[in-house]
Amino acid sequence: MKNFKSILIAIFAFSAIILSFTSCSPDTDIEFDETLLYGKWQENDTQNFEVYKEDGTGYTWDEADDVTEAEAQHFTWTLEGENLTHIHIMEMGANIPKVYTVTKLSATELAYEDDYGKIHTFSKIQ
Amino acid sequence: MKRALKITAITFTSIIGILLIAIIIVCNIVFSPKTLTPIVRNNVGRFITCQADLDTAELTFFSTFPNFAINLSNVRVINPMAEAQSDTLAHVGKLVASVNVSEFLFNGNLIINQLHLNNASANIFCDSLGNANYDIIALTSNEEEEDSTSTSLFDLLQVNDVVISNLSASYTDQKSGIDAHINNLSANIDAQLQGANGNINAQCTTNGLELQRKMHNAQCTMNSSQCIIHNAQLTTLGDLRDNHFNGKLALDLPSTTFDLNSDRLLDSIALRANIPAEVNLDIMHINLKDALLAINSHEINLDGVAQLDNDDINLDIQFATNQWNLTEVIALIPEAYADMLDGIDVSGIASLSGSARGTYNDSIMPLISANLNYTNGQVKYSALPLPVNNINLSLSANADLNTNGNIQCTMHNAQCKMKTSHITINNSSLLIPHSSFTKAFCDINIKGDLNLPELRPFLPDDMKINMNGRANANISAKFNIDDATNLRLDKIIADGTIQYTDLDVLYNDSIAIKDTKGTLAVQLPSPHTNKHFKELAQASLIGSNLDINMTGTMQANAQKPNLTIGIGDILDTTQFYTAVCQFNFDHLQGSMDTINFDITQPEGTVEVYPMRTNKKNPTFTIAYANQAIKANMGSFLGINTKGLKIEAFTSYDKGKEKLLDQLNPTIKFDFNNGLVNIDGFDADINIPAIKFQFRPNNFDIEQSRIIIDDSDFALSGNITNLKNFSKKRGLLRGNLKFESQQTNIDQLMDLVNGLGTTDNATDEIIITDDNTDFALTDTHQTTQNQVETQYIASPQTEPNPFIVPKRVNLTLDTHIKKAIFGDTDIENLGGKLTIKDGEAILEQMGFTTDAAEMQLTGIYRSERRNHLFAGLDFHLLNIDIAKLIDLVPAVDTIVPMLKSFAGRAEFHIAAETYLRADYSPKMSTLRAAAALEGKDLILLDNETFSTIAKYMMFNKKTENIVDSIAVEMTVFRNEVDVYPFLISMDKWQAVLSGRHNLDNSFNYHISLTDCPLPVRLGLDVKGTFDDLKFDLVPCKYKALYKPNKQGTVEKQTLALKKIISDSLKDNVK
Repeated sequence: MKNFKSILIAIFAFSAIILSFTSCSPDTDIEFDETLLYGKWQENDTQNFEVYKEDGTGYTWDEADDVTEAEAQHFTWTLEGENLTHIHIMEMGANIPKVYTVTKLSATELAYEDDYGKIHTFSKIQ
Repeated sequence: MKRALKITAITFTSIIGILLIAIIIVCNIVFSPKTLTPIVRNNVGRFITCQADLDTAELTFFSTFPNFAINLSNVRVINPMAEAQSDTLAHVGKLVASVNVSEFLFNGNLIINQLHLNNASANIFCDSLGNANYDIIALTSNEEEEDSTSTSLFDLLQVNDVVISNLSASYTDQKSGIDAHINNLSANIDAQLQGANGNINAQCTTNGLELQRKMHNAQCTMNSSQCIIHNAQLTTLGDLRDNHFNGKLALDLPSTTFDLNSDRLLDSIALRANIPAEVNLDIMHINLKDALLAINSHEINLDGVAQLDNDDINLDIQFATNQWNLTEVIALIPEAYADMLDGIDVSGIASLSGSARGTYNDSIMPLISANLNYTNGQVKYSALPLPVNNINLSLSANADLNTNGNIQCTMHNAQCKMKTSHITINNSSLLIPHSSFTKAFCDINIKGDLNLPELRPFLPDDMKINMNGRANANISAKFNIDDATNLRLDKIIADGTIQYTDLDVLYNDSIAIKDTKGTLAVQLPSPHTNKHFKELAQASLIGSNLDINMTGTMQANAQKPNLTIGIGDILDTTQFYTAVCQFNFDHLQGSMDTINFDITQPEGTVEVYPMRTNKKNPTFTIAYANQAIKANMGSFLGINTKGLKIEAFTSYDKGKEKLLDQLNPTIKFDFNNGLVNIDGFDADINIPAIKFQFRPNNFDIEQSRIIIDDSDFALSGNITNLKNFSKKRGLLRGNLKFESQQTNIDQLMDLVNGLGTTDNATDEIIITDDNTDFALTDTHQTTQNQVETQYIASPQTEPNPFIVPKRVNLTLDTHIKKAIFGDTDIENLGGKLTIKDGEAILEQMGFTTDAAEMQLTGIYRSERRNHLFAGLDFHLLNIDIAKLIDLVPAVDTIVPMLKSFAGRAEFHIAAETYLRADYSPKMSTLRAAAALEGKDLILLDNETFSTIAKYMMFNKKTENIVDSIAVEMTVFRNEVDVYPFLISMDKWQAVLSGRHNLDNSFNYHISLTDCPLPVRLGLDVKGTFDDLKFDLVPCKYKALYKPNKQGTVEKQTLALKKIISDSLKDNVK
């Protein structure tokens, strides 16, 4: 019984080592054309909009919540490789970072997902 | 002796006999009718110019003994004139004249001892040119000269025993339109003229007298059945040529009628005259000496002089009547004019006296003075609802009817009575200028003892008013009629008081006023001086126990009310009205709808007068104070205060656009020792003092203290720039200070809990059917056998959210020494609440509790009704985590894992979202960031921890104390992200991260980065607390906190954490 326990620990440790190597795989080098991001996007099947401006700023609003474009909330954004980072600027002084992985970016379509697998797809409207 | 006597008798008898024989011879032979008649007939023609004739002339002696007399029969004087009544001027049936021949022959005196005219008639006529048929005396030129130079042809002319019997005469004067007829006139006349002195006495009776005068189209006729001249005397004064006489006429016409055309003016009246007079015809002067004229029993005495001077009549005559019975006087008024007195019934005794002095002609009137005494009078007049009885008055008048003259009437004393009301007028006068009655000047003094119900008939019928009580009025006034009519108060002097008792007035069946006694006074000009306007009139009311009841609306009782109202020139249209009202009451109690009030010694002044810069606009000044008020609004609100003072000043300019500019108010408010009860609010609100001043541009709160249960508040400070704010030209600025020694938040929350809710069930539906008895509502009437649905209330409209005013910049500096919230005592709570241009900012509100030191900043902004911004920046330093969750339960929602720790930590959170009108958050706008840092925290040993420890192979002996923790979290929309953080426990280190959704589902990862084991494990914890799933996964953060092994991802992750942490901590002061 004592040997069985030692064997089991060894197998578990090996598995863990294998898993740990798997989990620490190197980053891929996918690049997207940032200029394609400029403009006004509408999230599919929603009334949620995002605007990306060339100066690295943007704003977002959801008309389903009776918010107009003029009342949109602002963020800064960066696109490095496939990583799209939003820093949402709160009026109360704090900043909220949101990091996404862009999976698709074309002249008309944008798709990104976060670390928890939540996918957002947009269509360009302007 | 006998012989001598005998001789003498014989001689005397012989002489007499001879004389008789001689007389008989003379009378019957020498001057027989046959001889005498022609002589007389021929000589008559010498004295008159017209035809005259007679039947016989006879000399008589025995029938006229002892005088010789001439007896003429049927003497006729005929002088025809066109349109004359007759050719016969005069006819005397028998004329007997006796002359003292010896006087005539020897002394040159003409003494007519007897002159009897019987059955005479005369027709006197004067045509329209003035030619008279009686102008028949023929005078030679010598006689005319003599007549003008001598007084008489005889030394003595004496006429005795002139007797006229049965004389009928008519007189027609076409020039003056006079016709007169006398029937059956009998007269006795004695006359004497000696030298320049003469006198005449006559008595006369006629059985018919008719006078008639035609004037234009009118004909005035007087008929008298009898005319008696009891005594007519005329005596010369001085030389006859002076035409100066003293005379007297006593005349009596016992039954006389006067007619004007066909109208009977006077019927069967008795006229009487007794006129002693001195007459000077040369200067046309008459001096009446207590002359008497009378109609029936109504006498008038005349005394004085009158003189005709060319066209002037100079008068100085006094007159006086006896006491006239006005009923009899009015009865004399002709029927033709009776309608003038329709509805007027006057009785009583009146006497009139006076005088007329001065010249009378076409353009000048004499001065007339009159005194009237009227006693036991009664006047009934249809326009007067009540008869006026017991009238006694004494009135005098002076009338100067000339241009620039005046009529002055003076009522010396007058009393009258109407039912049980008495009115007295003393020493009152009316001065009426000739130029205009409206300029008449009155000076009246009236006293009245009035029974108020008796005044009701004097008021308009459509005025529904009933009055009871008595009023004692005393009014003095001096005014011009025109000024009074036009209410020119500045020219009226008046002083009046009305003292009432047991006043009970009901107006329009809805307003009742009662008072036991009081005084209403009016004074013009006002005795008060007013610095804002000239006070012209003042009215005051001092009552005792005044009750006012407006049925169904208002009821009030005032103890010892004292009201004084002063007014300025109300007719001055160039400026706004001016008035002032001062009032004070011992006590005022009343109710209005559900409001009841009881005020002790309210007093104040309300003043209105023209604005200084624009006289057309009003300025109001109000000062009010009372000692105590008890008031309640049903069971909803009760107020009890010991003192209230209000001073207000406002100038109203309706030309201005904004209300503040229109009113321009200044208000001083001082309220102290008040106690307020609000329904549903269990505690009394104690207000020791509220004192503020509101000016057009500033609102200064000098002092305000409120105590509610264990809490007390004090607010002070000022709000400025009100004018520019109202004109949208500037911000409303305010700097207020809010202080509290203690605020029991729990108590206050309990007190206000439920306030504003109603007992009515909303959206209640009443379904009625034919088997249900139900109550009818006011607005919906339902009937049996009918089913209908009624929405009693349907408050579908959502309440409006709080909209922060724009263009406002207010700062509320708050300091609460101690606030009690649950088990937490918060001390030194201080900070600023700023409302700035549509945004409310709770700025760095700092406070300490036994759980933590705290700092809170909050922002609320109402951009539009359905888009409200709410944000907070909250820092809890050295917070007990359990207390934190108690204090801010929302933290547990955002950071649910926090309740797994015990100990003290530092917590920072910033959160913001937009809200809908109902304050529900718009999730798409929700943003929050939080950071938690703690050391030596105890990880609570619960089921979840046990499961995790089992998977992570924690040593069971390991004490679950977390050495340090630094957690950064964000909320974006509905995603709560916990950034990777390190937990060190004993020899174990783990990094945790994950996502927590607001629906309480989560997805966490735990990386075991250091432990005694040779492997580095990862564990995913997913699901909900009720349904957890644990999966072993590769270690995700094995290099995150190992700087020498960090890659780009690790560095970026730490950078993001730093961004969150730094941005939060930057706001900590």
